Amino acid sequence: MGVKLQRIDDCRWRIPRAGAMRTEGLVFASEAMIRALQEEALEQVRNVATLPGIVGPSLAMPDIHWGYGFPIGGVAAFDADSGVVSPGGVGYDINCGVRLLRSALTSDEVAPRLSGLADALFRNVPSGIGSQRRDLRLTVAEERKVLAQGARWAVAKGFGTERDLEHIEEEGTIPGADPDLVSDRALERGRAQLGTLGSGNHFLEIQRVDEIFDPVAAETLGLFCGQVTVTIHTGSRGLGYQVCDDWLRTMLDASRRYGIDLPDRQLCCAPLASPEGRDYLAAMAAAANFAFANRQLITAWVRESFAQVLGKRDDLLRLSVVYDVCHNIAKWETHKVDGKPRRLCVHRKGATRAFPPGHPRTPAAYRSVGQPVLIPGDMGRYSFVLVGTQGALEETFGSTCHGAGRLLSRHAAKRIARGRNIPAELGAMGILLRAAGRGTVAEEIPEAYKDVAEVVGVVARAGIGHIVARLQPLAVIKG
Amino acid sequence: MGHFRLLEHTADIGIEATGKSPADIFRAVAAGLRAILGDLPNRPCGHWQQVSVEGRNLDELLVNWLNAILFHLEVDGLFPEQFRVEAISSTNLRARIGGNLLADSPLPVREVKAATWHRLEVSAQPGGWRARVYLDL
Repeated sequence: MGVKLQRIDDCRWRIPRAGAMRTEGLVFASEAMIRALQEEALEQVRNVATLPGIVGPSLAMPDIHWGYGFPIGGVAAFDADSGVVSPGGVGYDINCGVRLLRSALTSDEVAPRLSGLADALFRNVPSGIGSQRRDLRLTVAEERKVLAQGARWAVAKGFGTERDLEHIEEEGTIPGADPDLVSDRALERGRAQLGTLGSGNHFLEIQRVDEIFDPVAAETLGLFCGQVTVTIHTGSRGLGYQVCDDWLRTMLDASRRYGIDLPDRQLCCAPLASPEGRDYLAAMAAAANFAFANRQLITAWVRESFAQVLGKRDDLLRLSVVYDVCHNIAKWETHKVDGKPRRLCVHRKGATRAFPPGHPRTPAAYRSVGQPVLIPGDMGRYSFVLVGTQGALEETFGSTCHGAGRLLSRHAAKRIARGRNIPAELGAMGILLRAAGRGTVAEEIPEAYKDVAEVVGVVARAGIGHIVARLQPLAVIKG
Repeated sequence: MGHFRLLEHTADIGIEATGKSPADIFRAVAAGLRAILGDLPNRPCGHWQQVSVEGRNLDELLVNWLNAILFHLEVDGLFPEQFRVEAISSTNLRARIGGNLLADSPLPVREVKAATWHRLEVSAQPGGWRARVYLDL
């Protein structure tokens, strides 16, 4: 293996500082995960460590895999004065994230209508490429309000409640968003896509809480065994992709101008204190707000779908937001470094914020147990709900994993799926599937992913997350 | 006439193309993108879209060309089938994307978010040209 790796303990591996690295790398993984990991992912951890102003190690969560620029599962914090911001450390799908809804229903109550519910969700929440809502085409002026206000815009339009906002990272609005820094092309791509799921690994899932690991934390999060929950996984759609693409060009110029050596052009960046750095963060915040509004609108249509099919009023179904987390984001946060508080820009590329009990940014309702962390698995096994820990705050700038992490390339997954009837296989496990495209289903087969139980197991052993509950899929809607 | 092959990547996918000229490889990489978008036989084109793309060099021009195809797919619903390079320099490309509108004939299409700069390469080789680009899926 070209990248030198030193074992620290059963879930930590160090990439020692060498060459142009300004700091070491720290990878959270089991030995089996390291053996299965591609060299390119470790090279990417090493590359991030070369960026100016990085504080602490270049981190990788246990769902690490080869990305572009940063590894997926990468976390890096940068000093406000000497550090940089990189669109490649956020990704194209800005604020791709996960939202979990809980209900007052049990899986036994829903079972007879599950098929109808899956159909209604598939019908009411547009999915697939270029999916659009014909009933919600925004004017440019309205779209700019979405970019400034995020989920708050949706709530003001009647899609949800103030209480929803209390249970979203940053209350559903990243401050400092500047719609003027979002290109016409990005606005055009986003205009008809608000309230759509998209395609690829994005999904909507009806689940059942099948195991509780921490009863006190579960009760605080409003979760109980047998309960029906819904997970929404999507992001900023074409608007976010375009914002990233637009700013990469600016950052390539900026990297040259500020004399920053790049081991991979996708890591192009600008000093946080530069006009380019500040403007990118304001454009990124606008795209992140679009993603928050997107998940808020989808929440409204999930509620509507449940009410339609089950014939109950929304207040009786009590579909409420447990939490909503960002996976791809760069944010200003204050962290203690060598005992002193420092303002840092934390990049999370396929990683989740995981603040501990008592942290002021953890919602008041959850402050006794920690910020909820939502970790989707694959469509055939399970997902997990965790809470943040003090260990994460101290060791990973309050970050943990974001999912299972891919194990197989999409081509390899399709090869394995050839000749199989994946919907029938899932059906035999009691899981309904509604999908816009067969190809996506083949690429997203459970074997394509690491077992998320192993991933959260490493997280728990390392102390960068605490497992609360496990969710089993009942119906999966895929783009 | 250029040729392409798809490159394995854990989460995403790459395209490598070879050809006798920049026009060849730009067509071949676009054909690679078409293959990724849909595992479907090519169909006759019912619609043509003229595009003009700029870049500071061939690398940037390639990324911008692929992202222009993705833009018209997403915004206009134009599923691409054929690509005609009308003029190309190291900083400008004028081309036509032939295809069909998804509104007229819906297809299961795989979403490609963008062409990235990761390991991006466009270079002259002995006897021709070579390009490599990774896409974010």
